Amino acid sequence: MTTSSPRLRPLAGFGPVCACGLRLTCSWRRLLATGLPVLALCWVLGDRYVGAHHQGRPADAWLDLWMLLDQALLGYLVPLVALLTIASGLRVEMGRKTLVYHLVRPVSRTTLFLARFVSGVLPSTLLGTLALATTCLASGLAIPAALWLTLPVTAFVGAVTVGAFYYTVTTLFRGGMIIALAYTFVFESLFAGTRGAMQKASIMFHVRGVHHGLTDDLFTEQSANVLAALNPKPDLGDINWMSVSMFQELRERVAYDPPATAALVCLGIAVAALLYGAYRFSQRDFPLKD
Amino acid sequence: MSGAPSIELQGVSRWYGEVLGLNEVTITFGPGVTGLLGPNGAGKSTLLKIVCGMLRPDLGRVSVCGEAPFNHAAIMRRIGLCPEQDAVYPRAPAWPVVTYLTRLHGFTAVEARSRARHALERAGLGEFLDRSVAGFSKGMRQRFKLAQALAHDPDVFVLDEPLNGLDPPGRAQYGEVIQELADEGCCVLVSSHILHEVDALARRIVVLNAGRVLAEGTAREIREDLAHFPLQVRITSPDGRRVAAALAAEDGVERLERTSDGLVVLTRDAAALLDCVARLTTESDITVDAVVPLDEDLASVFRYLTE
Repeated sequence: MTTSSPRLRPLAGFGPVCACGLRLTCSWRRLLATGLPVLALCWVLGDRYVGAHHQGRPADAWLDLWMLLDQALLGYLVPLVALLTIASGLRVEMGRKTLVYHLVRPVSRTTLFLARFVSGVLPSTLLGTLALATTCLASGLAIPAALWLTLPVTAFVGAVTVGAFYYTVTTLFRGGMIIALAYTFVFESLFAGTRGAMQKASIMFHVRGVHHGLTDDLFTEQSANVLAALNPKPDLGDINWMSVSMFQELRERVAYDPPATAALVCLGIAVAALLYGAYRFSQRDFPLKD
Repeated sequence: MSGAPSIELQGVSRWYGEVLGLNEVTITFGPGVTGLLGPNGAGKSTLLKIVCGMLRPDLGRVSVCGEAPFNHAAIMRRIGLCPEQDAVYPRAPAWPVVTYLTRLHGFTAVEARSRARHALERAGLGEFLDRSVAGFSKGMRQRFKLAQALAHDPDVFVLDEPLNGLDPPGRAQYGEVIQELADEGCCVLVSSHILHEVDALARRIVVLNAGRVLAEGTAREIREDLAHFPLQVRITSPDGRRVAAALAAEDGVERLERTSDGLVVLTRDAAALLDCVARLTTESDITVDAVVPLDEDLASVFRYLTE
């Protein structure tokens, strides 16, 4: 009878739940369906965009790569990878009704919530790193070793920060995926396009802060145009052509926080999202009807 | 946490928006098998989900082995749930899934594998350990769900419509397992909307309808509690016409009907009817071959209660 069951420890069940989530996320079928299109897109971006002639500004492959990583990859691809690998963790269990098996185990709901998040972070970081690396590789540039080393850090910070937000939204709300997609493609762009401190309302602004803090010196060594872009002055007429985002003139760009500060802000966003999500998840009813 | 397995609900109500799922239910379940009987939408699944801590009651108090189950991880060590819905992981074989779910109870991988194997064998899936659950038939999925509920040796079992989709031998085997659990002192709750299932599995029956407990006890006890409902009795006699004439004058007799099998009498006073029949046979030359109550079975009780 029940006396044979060992005592409950703090975070009991975290390991098995995390391992199960990892197996579900990293199934071959899912990796192929998710990873191949992402990597193919990154290859095409790196191959076609970097070094190509862009109307109104000088041809500079390093500047192209710098902008590509900032805008396309950190703006859309890393969030999408997080959405595909992290966000759906518990939502899929709810959809399949297999969540019911977990709710009647001696595993606290908080542990369940956190374990499934952690199980998504590893594949998200891996795929994010591969996506960034594929773009760099396809660019054909001689990427310095230090830049390669920053890619997993950027991917990890992006996965944890935006992943925590998406994961909480998709777990708590039935239309969470739609909300997350709308956030990525509408609100992030709007925040990035606004003037002044409003830009800091964007989650990816802070992820970009970490990325730029780690990589800008490496890029400026390679390209004077990157240096010029980082130090815009109104009287520098020859760089007025450049915009940091789709909507925003370069001169309106708010300076990124130092990488340590940006990383702290990212951590704060992730912790706040996860705590809120775990609390709401633990207080929630689960009718789980057919 | 108390020692003996028990479930207690006191004044429990639960709404789904404006729909009342459970209405002030007060009931206690102890060791043994209890059947929850009711039509679809009666509140059976809501009650079971409240017991398993998946739903909170809007009003009232619920305790499992002395503890409120909602979001109470430790109490789940004592609960084995066989859910109603076919929840399966695609492409995952039965043994690893049950092993994984058993590991969540804190067992080592080796012990969890051993327990999972034993539970699957006990549920009748010993030959299908490595088969994908998604490829199982409905009946096999029911056995799988039983196995994952058994593997950690709980003493409170909550089985929601467990016999759906099982063939007759499967039902018999499932029934044997339930009986074994009851013999071991476990508290077993079995819900069903199929009368003969509950009648066969459980001695104690709780009839639910529209979120309320209409009756509880054995089928016979419930019938006795419903004395105000008319009882049908079939009287077999070669003197049917004379018996009918005599009974027609009796108080409590509401209807008389002659059928090919005999005289069917609808009465509100079964005792008076039996006295009358006895008087007829002793005080006259009328012969009565048999007096058989027609609706002491669960189907009739259920019909009375829910109509």
